[in-house]
Amino acid sequence: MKRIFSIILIVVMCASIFAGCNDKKDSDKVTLRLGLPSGYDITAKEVVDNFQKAHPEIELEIDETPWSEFKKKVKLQSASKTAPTVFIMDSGHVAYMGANGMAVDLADRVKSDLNADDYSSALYAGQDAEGHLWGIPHGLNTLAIYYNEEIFDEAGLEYPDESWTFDDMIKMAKKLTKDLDSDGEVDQYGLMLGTNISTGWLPFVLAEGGAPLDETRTKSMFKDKKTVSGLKKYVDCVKDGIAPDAEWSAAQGGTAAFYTGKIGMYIALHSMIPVIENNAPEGFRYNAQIMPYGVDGKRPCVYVPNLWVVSSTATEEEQEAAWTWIKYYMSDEAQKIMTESGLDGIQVKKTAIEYMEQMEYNGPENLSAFYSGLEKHGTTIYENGTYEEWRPKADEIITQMRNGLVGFNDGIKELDSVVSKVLKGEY
Amino acid sequence: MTKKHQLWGWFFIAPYIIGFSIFTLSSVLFSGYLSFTEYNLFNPPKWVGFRNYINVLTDVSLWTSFRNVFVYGFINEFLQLFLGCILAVALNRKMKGTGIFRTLYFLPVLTPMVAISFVWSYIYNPSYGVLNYLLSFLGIGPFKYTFSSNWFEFVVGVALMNAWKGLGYIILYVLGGLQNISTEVMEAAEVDGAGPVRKFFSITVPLLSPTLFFLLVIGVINSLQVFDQFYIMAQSANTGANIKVVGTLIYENAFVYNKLGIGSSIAWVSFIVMAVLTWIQKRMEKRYVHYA
Amino acid sequence: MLKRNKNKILNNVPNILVTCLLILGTVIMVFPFIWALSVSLQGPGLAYITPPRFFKAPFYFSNYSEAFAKANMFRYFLNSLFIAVLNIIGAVASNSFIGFGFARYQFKGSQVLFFTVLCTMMLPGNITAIVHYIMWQNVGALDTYIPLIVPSFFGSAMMTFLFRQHFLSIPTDIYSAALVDGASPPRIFMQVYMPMSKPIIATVTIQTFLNSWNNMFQPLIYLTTKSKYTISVGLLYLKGTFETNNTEILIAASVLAMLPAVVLYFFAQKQFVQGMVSAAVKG
Repeated sequence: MKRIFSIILIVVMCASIFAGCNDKKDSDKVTLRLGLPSGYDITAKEVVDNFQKAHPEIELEIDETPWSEFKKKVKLQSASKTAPTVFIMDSGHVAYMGANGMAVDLADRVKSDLNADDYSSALYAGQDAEGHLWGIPHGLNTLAIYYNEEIFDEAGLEYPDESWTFDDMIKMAKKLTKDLDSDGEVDQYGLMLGTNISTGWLPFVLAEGGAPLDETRTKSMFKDKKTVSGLKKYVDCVKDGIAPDAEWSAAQGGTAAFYTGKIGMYIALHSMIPVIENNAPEGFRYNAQIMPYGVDGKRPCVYVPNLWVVSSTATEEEQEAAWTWIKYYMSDEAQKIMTESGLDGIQVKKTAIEYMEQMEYNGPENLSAFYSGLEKHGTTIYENGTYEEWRPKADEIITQMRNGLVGFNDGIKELDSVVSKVLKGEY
Repeated sequence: MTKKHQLWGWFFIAPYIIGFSIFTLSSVLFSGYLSFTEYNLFNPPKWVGFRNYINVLTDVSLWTSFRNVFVYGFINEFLQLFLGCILAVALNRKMKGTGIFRTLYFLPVLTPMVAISFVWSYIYNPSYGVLNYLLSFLGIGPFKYTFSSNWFEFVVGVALMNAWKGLGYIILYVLGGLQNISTEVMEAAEVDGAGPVRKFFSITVPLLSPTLFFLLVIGVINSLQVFDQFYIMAQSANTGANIKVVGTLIYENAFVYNKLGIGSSIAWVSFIVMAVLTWIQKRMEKRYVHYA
Repeated sequence: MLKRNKNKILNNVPNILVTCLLILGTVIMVFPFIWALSVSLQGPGLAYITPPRFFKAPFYFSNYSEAFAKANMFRYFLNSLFIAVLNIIGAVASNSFIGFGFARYQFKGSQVLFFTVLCTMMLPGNITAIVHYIMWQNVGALDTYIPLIVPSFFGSAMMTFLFRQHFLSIPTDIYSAALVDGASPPRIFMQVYMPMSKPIIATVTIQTFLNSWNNMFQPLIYLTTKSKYTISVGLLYLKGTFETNNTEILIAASVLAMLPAVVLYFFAQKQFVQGMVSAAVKG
């Protein structure tokens, strides 16, 4: 019996060593716990170090977890009131946290401390329909179209220019789709489309003037005529064979299909640049172009923001420190360092965007494809409190539609009813 | 004496009582309560009566996941028990090298499902995988396996992999069962002039039936709870197919959507289904299983 | 070991046919491992070409060092090992202890309780997983190893059952005699019964090791800090990083994850098989 107890004791002790790092030190300093998913791979170390130098009265503590687990972790920490004071979170989850009282509304602080004119309109990416501002952008992952110059050259096609439209894009894709070894199966596709909202169906829907949700983000718009016609165009790209089906893309390893020369144009986010740069064979020639025009002269320049969120469980003092941190992050200095590092997409300060135009960079020549449409055409991905539930469900049904598993009209009906159900909070 | 005896008894089973009441009994009761509430970890549970159950039972995703589980379970169990019996009987004869065979058959059982799934995912790759390449020599295929947007192909792919992984386990159990078949029965049958196939079906199988029954019951329970392989394989194939199983549905609702009440109610529905299945099996046991 | 010649079901079938069948089966069983080994030695990008390459030079052993370096595999190994060892200690100690209680002291209360043991065997983990999670959250044990370790110190139905069956097969006289000699029950348990249970201890040890090493669901929901990951969750995390562009490294890491259990098996094979079979016969 003694033995058993001593064993249990040892276990609990060992485990608590691992559990550690919850003990807080007593001092006059405010401790600011920074939640950084994947650590300095997302926020440049220089920014953190400079802040620490400038603010010795604040003690920084880094809480680091890989992206895939970070969301889960912060969720649990919020539930047990131990979340980091300020942390990075993807906008979809920020909307959830805001709706459930886990995030602090930063609207007033922004109004009094930041000059909105200095920033692109994406500064308000974390705003919900009622005007609460649940987060400040850490970086914007913007959408553009990558294209393979070699494939364009071989087909004798001009590279796309800024004035192109969605119809131009589809026409080009048709010309680029080829059966190279003439075995009856296409092995070079004009256009590769994602199966998810941002790199998949949303740009098509927006290009037709539609939207997944209404302005209050409480009602499904999937039955709206314009939305339906956008979805139709999206689904038809696969049906007409100018875009590969999802099975093909998965088997080819996604982005790998682009840099191994099997895809003419690839709708993808800014974050794909390092993936292509690190893996493409030598001499691979590619570039990027801004999203083409849809109807009404609007381009669907979709961006997926990561936001700084202040935890609602933080004390007043900690919240103040967190805001000091965010203010520093939004300064010219920090924004420039972040832009230079290329770590989390596009920064929102105008000086940072100007700086981008002249800096040396590993990536497509036309880097402006990723930021020039931001101010005028930039749009988020319709985040709301139930985004994380309706989005995967909608993605799934739309993917089924494009794979022909569900008829188009049936799919639209199901889409509308499923999303409406989620929005109403019925399972 | 008896009182002291009893006291020692309580002493020895005390850890079980503690563990049972904390980790099993109270958990089961609380889970039952949760399944009637709306709960997201942040706000206290809110009683909603049968709403969760009605929502869950009227939603198509539960039924497609049951369909997937049953198809998966059936293929998996069939392959494992069928091949397991044949190979065990082959391994049971006196021959050189059977030890090595048995060792090799058992290898997959030992390896983590995650690693196995990665390897098989790559083997299954419709464009570059080795399986389609090899089958093409036989003029079969190509198939898309777990990369398919067809749920059936996906489920079969996972079931094949799982049958491969668990086969060694089944062989081992059946071998154990074969040890219990007395030599006399076999010799008597031989004297009667029974051939190997007849002997297999009219003697070995009936005498093995308790073992097979045990494996079947365990297999059905495991199939209904399958999670790892579906969770991993579904990640590499984002093709929109209805490839959820009950386990992934619970995981998704409880741990991704934060709907712990809904998650609990799905768990209870699956438990009830499992209980009914076990009861049916018990009924069948009386008819088909021969205890020596 | 097993007596294989006890019954001769397939006596009339030539040995050669049976051997062919077994070899065919072996090829199928072993091929994925060989294939994984081959892929894990491929150069960058070569995993994605047709026809598939099979053990073609040059070999990139650097894939393994990359898996260790980039993926922090060594850390995951140690974590998994730490958990596995504590699980084994817990499982052997608690299950033998409880099994002894159920085998040697049979009275009404214990009979009822033993019935609950049998019932627990049928209880699906799905039912309790959510509640356990809430429970550990409430005591602040999320993202620690406590939820993965502590439950093993309170016995598990299957293994308690194994120990009980084994202890039942030891004659009661031994117990009575030791009692008369003035030994206390815990001492009898430790010094008489445990030394007689080595095969069962081995079985439980290996079974626990496998369960713990291959466990994915629990580490997945409980652990969130990267440095605390176990091998399964670590691999899962690697998938996101390496799958599309460095399949060969992902497969190399998978091979590494398979190794320990396989090595253990080759060393402890005899006891393992024996234990499993005796469990099967009794169960």
